Amino acid sequence: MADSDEIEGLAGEYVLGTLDKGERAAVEAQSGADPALRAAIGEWAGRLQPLADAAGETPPPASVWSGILGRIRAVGGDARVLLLERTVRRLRIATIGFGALAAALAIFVLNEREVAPPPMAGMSYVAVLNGEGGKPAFVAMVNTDTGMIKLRRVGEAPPPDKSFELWQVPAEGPTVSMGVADNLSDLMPMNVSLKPGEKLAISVEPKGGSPTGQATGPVVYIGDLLPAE
Amino acid sequence: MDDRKAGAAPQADLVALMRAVAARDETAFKQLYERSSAKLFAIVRRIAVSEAAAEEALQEAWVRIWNHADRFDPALASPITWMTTIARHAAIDAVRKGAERVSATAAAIDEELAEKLPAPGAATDGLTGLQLQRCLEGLDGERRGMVLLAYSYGYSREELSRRFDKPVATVKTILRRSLIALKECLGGR
Repeated sequence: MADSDEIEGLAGEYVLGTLDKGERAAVEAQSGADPALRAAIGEWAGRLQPLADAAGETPPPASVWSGILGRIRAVGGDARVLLLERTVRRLRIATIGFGALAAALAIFVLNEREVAPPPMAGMSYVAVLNGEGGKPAFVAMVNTDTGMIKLRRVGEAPPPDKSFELWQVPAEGPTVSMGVADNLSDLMPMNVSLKPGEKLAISVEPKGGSPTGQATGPVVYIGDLLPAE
Repeated sequence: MDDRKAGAAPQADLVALMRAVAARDETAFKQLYERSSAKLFAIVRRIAVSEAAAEEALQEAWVRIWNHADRFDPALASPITWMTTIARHAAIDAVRKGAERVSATAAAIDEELAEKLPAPGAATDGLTGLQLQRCLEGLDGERRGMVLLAYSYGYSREELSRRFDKPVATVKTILRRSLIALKECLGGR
């Protein structure tokens, strides 16, 4: 845990609004697992609130409300990503060490509208792929109804001249490539069936993916497929 | 404790509304919106570059409130404070996505700063507002200006760096020192 000065500084600047996007995301991720940071943020928000109160009140035009209703009722990206977030939060309850992840995922609730995710009805598995030290690097959501995997990177991008490649790792038998995963978010078709207890893994491959159909580079992230519900 | 006779009951109402919103109650959401949107809109308008951007940011803020109401923890913040943080971040996101702020606005803002400080009775909690005002006045002008431009107008470190002609790293140091000074002045509360 960071020392108390650092916590105060981060919490204060978080509330002030002067952290850049990455720093703010990091604070939100960290606060999920750090009650002291959450408390410090709450205290700073309370301390500075009178400055916000001083703005007074300005009724917004009525069109704003209808816009909000339209967005919260839409069966759009927001709702689906949120569902993933909530699923992960439920998993966190059952899985030690998930602390920061739910909060980290909140970040892409806000940033990910351009990707068209699969319908939410058939969502059946979630996997969190960790690297060394247990830091989450990818979250995979597997929808067996639509046969699609949505992969979301929460860690670092691959080196510029390399690609990440996603693999199915069955209990026995060879790994199967599920595609290259270089984007922040990838939606890829499942060409094999997946079962709980299997693993998903990410290896580092030459740009564009493994030339052989088998992983040629190191496996850097791996995680178990877990039932989502 | 502070005298909050006038504010205690509405506060409890808002907490109840937040819980209902977390449970996906649209009627409660509408009530929460009717009670709080004028306040949040005023906050967002100071940060946003235009009226249209302010409306857009307010909309985004309320979608975030709807989506994350289950995370609201009344032990950590009041509903208004929690919603204010969300609204300010939504407005700041909009500003930083868009074009650079016109610097002429910044010059005009300095003149206004004194007026923008909470006047006695203007804040929901008069005592807290007065204490904060006193402590801000205890900071030197540059520090106070940075804190106010950041909080009330959503200035980034880079914008403050240009505005005050200081390196970004120095701005960060000044902001953190100002925050520590404020906290100490407020008795660490």
